[in-house]
Amino acid sequence: MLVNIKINGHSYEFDVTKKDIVLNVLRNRLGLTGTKFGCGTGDCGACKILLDGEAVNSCTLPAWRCDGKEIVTIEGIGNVSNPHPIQEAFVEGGAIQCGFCTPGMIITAKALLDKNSNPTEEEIRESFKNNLCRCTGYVKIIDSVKKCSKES
Amino acid sequence: MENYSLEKEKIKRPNPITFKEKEKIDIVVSERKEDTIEPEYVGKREILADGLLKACGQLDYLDDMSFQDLLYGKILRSTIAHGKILSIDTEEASKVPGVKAIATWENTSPIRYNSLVRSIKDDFGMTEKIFDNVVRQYGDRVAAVAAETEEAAKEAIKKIRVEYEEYPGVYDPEEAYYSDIKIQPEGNRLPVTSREAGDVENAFREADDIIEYNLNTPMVHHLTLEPHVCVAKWDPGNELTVWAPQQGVFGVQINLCKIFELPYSKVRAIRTPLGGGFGVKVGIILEPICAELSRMAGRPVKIRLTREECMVSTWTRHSTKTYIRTALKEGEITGVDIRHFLNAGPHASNTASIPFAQVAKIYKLYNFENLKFTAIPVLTNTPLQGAMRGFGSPQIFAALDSAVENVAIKCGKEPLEFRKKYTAKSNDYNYLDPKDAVDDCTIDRCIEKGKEVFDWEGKKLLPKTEGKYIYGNGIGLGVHDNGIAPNEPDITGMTLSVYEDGSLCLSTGICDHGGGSYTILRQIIGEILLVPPQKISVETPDTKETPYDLGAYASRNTWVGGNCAIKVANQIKDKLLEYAKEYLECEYEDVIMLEDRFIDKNNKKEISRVDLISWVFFTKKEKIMVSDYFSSKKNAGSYGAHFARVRLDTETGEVKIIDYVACCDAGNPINPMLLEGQVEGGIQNGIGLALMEELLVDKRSGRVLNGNLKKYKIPIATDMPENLRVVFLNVYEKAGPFGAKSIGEAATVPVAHTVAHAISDALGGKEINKYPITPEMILLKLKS
Ligand code: FES
Ligand code: FES
Repeated sequence: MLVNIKINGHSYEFDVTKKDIVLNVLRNRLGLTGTKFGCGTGDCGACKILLDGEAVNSCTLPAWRCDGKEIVTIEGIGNVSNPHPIQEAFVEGGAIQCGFCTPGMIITAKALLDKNSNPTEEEIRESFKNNLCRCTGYVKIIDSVKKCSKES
Repeated sequence: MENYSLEKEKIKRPNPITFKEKEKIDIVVSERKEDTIEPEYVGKREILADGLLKACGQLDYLDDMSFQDLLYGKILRSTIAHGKILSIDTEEASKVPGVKAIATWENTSPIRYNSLVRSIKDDFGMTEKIFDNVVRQYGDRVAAVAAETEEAAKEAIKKIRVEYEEYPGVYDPEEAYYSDIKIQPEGNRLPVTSREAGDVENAFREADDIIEYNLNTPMVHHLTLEPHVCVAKWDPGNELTVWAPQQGVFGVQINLCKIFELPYSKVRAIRTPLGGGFGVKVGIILEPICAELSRMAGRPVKIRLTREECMVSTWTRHSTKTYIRTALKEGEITGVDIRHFLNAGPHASNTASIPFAQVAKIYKLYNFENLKFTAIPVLTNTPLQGAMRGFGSPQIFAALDSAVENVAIKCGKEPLEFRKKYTAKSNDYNYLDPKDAVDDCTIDRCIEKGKEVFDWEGKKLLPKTEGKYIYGNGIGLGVHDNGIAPNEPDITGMTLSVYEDGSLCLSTGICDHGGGSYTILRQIIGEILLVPPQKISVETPDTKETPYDLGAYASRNTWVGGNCAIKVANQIKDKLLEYAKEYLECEYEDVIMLEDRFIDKNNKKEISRVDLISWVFFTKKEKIMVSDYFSSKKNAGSYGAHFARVRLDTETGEVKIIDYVACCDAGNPINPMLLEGQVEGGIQNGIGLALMEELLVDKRSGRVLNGNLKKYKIPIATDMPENLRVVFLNVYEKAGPFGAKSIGEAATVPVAHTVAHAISDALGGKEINKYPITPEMILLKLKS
């Protein structure tokens, strides 16, 4: 079936089957490899994208369900020559080690801060409940988000 | 006492270094910067060089890279834990459109190997084959398919028919030690390590009390966020190239050459960025399978494991069972007898090396008059177990430190003060491993500083209960090493070259596993050569292009890599100063190096750095570059005393860590931000071990019951301590690069037992004999 999805500001038309998953569409058809595969079962958050502003896992999301919706991936948040303040805060705050969880973390942080520009530490921790990181202990991730909230 | 030679290793300590003398120096000692000038880059919170790429999703991990003509591989896994393959029928599978190759034990290399050898001469047990006609664990590899698409490979795998003769399995190391069920033709017993200091038998004979303490620790999976992935390309010239997120490319080359009987010049291993390592990306797992499939298909093949395969079919932290008997006389510990069983899973792997690492460290933390340590590694039919952050230290120090804690509680002593009677002191003798000197021991200083920051005395006065909650405080000690010297060769090589514009290129086989090793190396080189770290590029480890390195394990990247970086940077500096002297027509001693130029301090004549490099090129017809290696001679201890305050919910058994202090000695910090990050991650890892992580194996079938993230939980943001503080002693280590020591593994060693001791305190001193300490366990303890 044909679906229309707006991705990082551009409109795309895809021919998809019921089984096509957004993560694979992004990675394999558009080469948007910033969104990572960590588990494929919706349990790690490495594949998070913004779907109409909500942070959702793309590895369990069928593409047909996104017809007419808008997706923002990590590439749509910012890039090396024009990074988003959250991306910069993560780098400067030491919130990144291996970096494999990072795109998903930043997507979650973006969704949170868009809705609540001044979250409490509690709220930040809660918002990361579906994002696993095995390197950082989350400490510097939480601090970096705090820093963004104060600055915004 | 065993007859160890008492001669301590002599370490040359030239200080400060003079560049003229440097060739003679084995252990590179950097100048203490505080006596001279403020360090420019060392000690700063330098950001990760590839941090922004990672933040923007623009760093390509292997699964993000494209390869021409790539085929996709899938592995068929055994559904039984032990048995013989009677037949494999691949006919239906081969008919699936797109299938290009099918590998089984019948058509792949039969050479036995050990995935973790570091040299062709290593004599770790060779028990593995790419595929075998015996499966030895649930999820063992049975066959593999390469196809045009992942879907086709998956479909083909489903169509392979396997007939097994099922054997009984054995899943407990103690049982397996005596069992008639033989997992390998050579039996189940791996070499036992037994060492003794003093006379333990006599201590027990003369004891007026004996206290026992046992601890079982679980199989814990590393759970790198990036799943295991590998690409292999066997080209028609019989040259094999493999790409993988590897902690050590040279080990891959060695093993593949052995398995396929290829010369080293024909096998090339390339590291791709690691999405986490922690010990599970050392050695070979997918490499030989991808290689075989690629050889058969004549095209490159990629295999990416599913999360479940990663958890069940790579390896885990060793599960252990430890029995400690303590002899007491007049309230003092006079003897300690440790029996430590290590579950290896079905292969030798490097399990028998764990006890060697453990014996080296015991006397770096505790100095008991009489101590016997017997480590018994045994094969079983559980998932394979192998290196993981800490390499046996978290398990052995959890048992030993808890045994001491337990004695203190039973004898009514204050546990912190009681410990200090037995902690090692600087220059104590390492009775179990005399070559590996104790040298500077800072555990008491970690205890003192941590006690103050945590407010140990104040916390003890706080109320123990509050409604349905009970509270407890705990302390835990640990140490980890820096590399594998002096017992084993611990070597790394580097090439450093100067570009025309003064920036630098470092070629190293060291693999940064994400913790920032390259950032550390850049800071070190930048400091010596006064070049901003951003102007130093680091090449991708590649057995064909970059110099040798042993591998990113044993906490060696900063220690060995940092020292090698100092060595090559000093040689470059020497060259630059020599050329500058010649150009400026002055004495070597009179040349002052600045970031942008060289000056003769007497007549102020100068040349810019860029002009000097060009002058060397055009006039001297030389290129400024250096290649050298560093062989580590010493192994310092990185110490930690951790403190925790926990809150237990007596209705649900839930544990909340409300306060945590880690006081660590990692030497003089090269990058405090990265150092903190390592400790924070190490704490998270230890909390998982203490409270929630265990790969469960069904006792009858050997099936793994929770090989997925729905059932196997790791700490999330809300599981971390509410108030977490990391403090460092900042003690300058003579043999460390700029006084630094390792932290990555040391960070996690004391965590689990610190949490356990706090829980035990909340429970009124009840013993904890098993990790993870689940809510069910706590409720049971509350009832008993
Ligand atoms: S890959 Fe989607 S949640 Fe893990
Ligand atoms: S930085 Fe490695 S998983 Fe988060």
